[in-house]
Amino acid sequence: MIRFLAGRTVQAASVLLLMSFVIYGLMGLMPGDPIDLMISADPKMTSEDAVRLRKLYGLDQPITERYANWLAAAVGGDLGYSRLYAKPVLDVLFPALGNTVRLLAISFLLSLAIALPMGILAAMRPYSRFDYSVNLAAFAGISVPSFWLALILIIVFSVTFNLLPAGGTGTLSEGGIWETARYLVLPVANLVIVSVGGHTRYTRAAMIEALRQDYIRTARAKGAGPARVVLKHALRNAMIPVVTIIALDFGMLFSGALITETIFASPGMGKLIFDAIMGSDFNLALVGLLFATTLTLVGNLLADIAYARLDPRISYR
Amino acid sequence: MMSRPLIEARDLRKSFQSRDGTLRVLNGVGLSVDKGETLALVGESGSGKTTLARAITMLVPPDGGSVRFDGMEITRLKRRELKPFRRRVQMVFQDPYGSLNPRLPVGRIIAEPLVIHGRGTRDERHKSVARLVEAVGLGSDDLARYPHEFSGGQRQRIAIARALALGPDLIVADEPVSALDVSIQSQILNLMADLRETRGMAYLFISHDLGVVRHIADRVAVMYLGTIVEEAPAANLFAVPRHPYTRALIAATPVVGRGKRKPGRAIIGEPPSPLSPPKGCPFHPRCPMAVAMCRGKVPVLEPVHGLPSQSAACHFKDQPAPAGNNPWTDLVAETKRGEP
Amino acid sequence: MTGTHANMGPAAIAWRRFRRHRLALASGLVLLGLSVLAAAAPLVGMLLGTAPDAVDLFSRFAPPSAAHPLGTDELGRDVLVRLLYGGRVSLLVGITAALAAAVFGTAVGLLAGYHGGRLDALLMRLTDSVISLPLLPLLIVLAAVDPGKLGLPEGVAESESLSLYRIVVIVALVGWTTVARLVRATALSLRERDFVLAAIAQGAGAARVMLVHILPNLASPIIVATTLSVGNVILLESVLSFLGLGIQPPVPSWGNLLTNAQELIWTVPGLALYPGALIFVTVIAFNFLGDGLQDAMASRPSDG
Repeated sequence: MIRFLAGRTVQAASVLLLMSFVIYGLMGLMPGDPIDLMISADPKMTSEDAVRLRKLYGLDQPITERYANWLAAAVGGDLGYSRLYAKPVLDVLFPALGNTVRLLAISFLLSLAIALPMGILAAMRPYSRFDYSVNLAAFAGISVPSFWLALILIIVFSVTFNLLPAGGTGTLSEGGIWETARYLVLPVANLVIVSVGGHTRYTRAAMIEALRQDYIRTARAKGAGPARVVLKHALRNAMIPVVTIIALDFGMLFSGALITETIFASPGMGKLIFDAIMGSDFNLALVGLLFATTLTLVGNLLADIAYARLDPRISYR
Repeated sequence: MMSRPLIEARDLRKSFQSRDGTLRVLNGVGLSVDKGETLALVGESGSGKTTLARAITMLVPPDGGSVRFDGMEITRLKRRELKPFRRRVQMVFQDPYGSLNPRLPVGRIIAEPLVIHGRGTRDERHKSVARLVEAVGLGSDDLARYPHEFSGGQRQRIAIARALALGPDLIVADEPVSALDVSIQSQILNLMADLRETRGMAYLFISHDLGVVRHIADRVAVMYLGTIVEEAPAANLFAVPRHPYTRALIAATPVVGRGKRKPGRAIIGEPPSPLSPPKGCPFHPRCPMAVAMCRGKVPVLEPVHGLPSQSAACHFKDQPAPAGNNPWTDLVAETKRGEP
Repeated sequence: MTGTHANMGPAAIAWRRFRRHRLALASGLVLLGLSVLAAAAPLVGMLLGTAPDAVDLFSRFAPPSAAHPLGTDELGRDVLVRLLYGGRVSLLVGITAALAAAVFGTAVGLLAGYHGGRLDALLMRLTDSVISLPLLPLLIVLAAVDPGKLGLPEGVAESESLSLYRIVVIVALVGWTTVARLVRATALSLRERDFVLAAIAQGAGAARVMLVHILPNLASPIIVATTLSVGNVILLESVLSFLGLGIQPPVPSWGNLLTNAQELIWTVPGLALYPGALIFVTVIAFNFLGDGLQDAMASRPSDG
């Protein structure tokens, strides 16, 4: 088990390292590098000044060398300053990380709380009217553009009925828990709607597959009641593929968070990364993206562990 | 005549890794086929026949041993270097439903070997394909149709036509008739025998059924658990089998009568798992003649005393079968079908 | 195949099964209708006597009328005509990108499935990694890359159609995984089939085996996966365009029409309705269609 985990951790770390290089390289290709910005800010600067500055900041070195320098500094704990916020990037990122994790965790759990029972019930009566409706709803959820859904939610609940805030965030000190929760309702609803469809379909498919197995038929033949059969025998086996696929969706969930936070002006990682990219805040964008990557890789790692625990046959090689 | 064999395999070894351990499928197998000769390779399913066929044709490269074709060692050749060998050795598979690409019309399937080896112009290829379908008893209006439109026997004819296309020296036929109805089986066997008469190629004919190979084989090799246990000219093998396993196989062969096929019989006991082959003689757990020596010492495939063309791997190979009360008929049980 | 199917080709049988999926059939018709309408956008513009970028500041936010069936936007441009022109771009980009992704995914899946072993392990790890990454932020970075810094000639880097090509490439970069996995799984089982062994035994090279023997038998999974990924690709294109990183105005696309609508959400909330609804309908139709195709092709008669 430990060797298995170590292997997976090393693999995740190498993906992270590769991503850091790719993203670092891409940052260099974005418009508005620091020198360009200085030039546009100070009309007195000449192109000779720019060359001198590039040299001073080491921007004339090859990309691999600059990356190596950045990596060395990053491993040493120096992740640089955010240009937009004029603060060390970690001071900007950590509060945002908390917000995003809260949003994702609530949405994810809520989505599973809806998807698992729906998927299981649909699988128990495949091709019934109930199954058909669940399927239809699931397809709708998968197909709805999340940013449009967010706009519709705002139009209905904020613009028309003025029930909920259209954006921003409440603080505990000002409005208490209820006030904070009010700000979360629409973003969470948005994320749940766009992810619950996929989760339901995975659960349904895995459950139908599990119920088709011989040992389920045997248990049924021996007279075990349907509820007992389903819960005791099929569920455990159905959970294995569900866990795997849902974990792979972690990255998608984060993508959803970016859209949701951006539209609802919710100060989380997604919005921060988006603003940083659009505002040429390279340090913040780079570290933010790596944070997000780490987040999804950790999610996958957790799924691997859950997978190993659910399936007694798996070997930890 | 100082002729060297067309193909000669020596000491072939192949094992596969499975979840439960190492499967030793080929344990030092050797065989040879002369030009124009038909060698039948017979054994129960799981004995390694198919793997041997695929190892000899380098579809599944063997782990060890050698295969010489026309004097040339082929086991160390790269895929590209094997092409001349592939031109001269063709295969016919067991399942005529699986061995034809469902997305190609029959004409293209048969022409494929010609295309691969750059034989002839388009027109010439059309002509040879037309001759080939005729030779296997199909019509040229069948060429535009797809495999799913044919019966099993017809498909096997298509597969044979494809194998003939390049005029090979050897056709390796892996259970070519076992997926077919009994009435169709003899048609295909007769076709193969006729083709050999007119074209003179050699066959390595693989089957689990001794009855099938009786009439087509010049020589028969019997395989058990990854080794050859007996090899002899066909007449000898059926008349004076020297390995108890061969005797059991003969006794288990369904008798094809004039009308109905009588119930077949199967050899008692399961073949041991190649995951944990028995020590000593591989056949000893099922052998009625087994003595202590058989559990300890592996018998070697050697010529039988007085019968130089016949070899067997049994400690008692030089003792002719006792007349009358045959111990090996006890090895055989009545079953409904002749499936071993 | 049973007697009733005996005289039907594989395509005919699949078509019969497919027709049973009324939803998929309806989706196909909806998509056909949308495509025809989008293709006819210039015609509709001509009939209404307007163009997608014809500004009319005297009739801003006009309500629906005979001249403007869906009203006008903040610059007095006809909403319907812009929607139809947007549909041209969105559908074209979606289908092109899905096809490009399908080609790449098929290549990856075919190589992994046919060769197996280490190459397979490597390619599938790559696929899993791409699936599990937070893709949207990465795509945003890609979309924000300055084409001038990639060494493209000035004329190309500045051209208007660049944003079209770029979005196709970017979306295809992540859209190939579904096809790759499905193709790989099918190729893996196909390469054990006797007709593939037969081809190898005849001396066919790897390329020939893959292209002549395996690829044609992959048609069903490729068609299904491509259809299913068109929906995803259109969603991605629209979100990037919505964020201002995809199709650039004044070229309308369903995504960037919503960017406008968001700014006007408090004053004219109705503007947000149509583009999103069209994306939704298109994506769900592609998903239903893919699902129906999957069922219809599930057990192909060619196996028999």
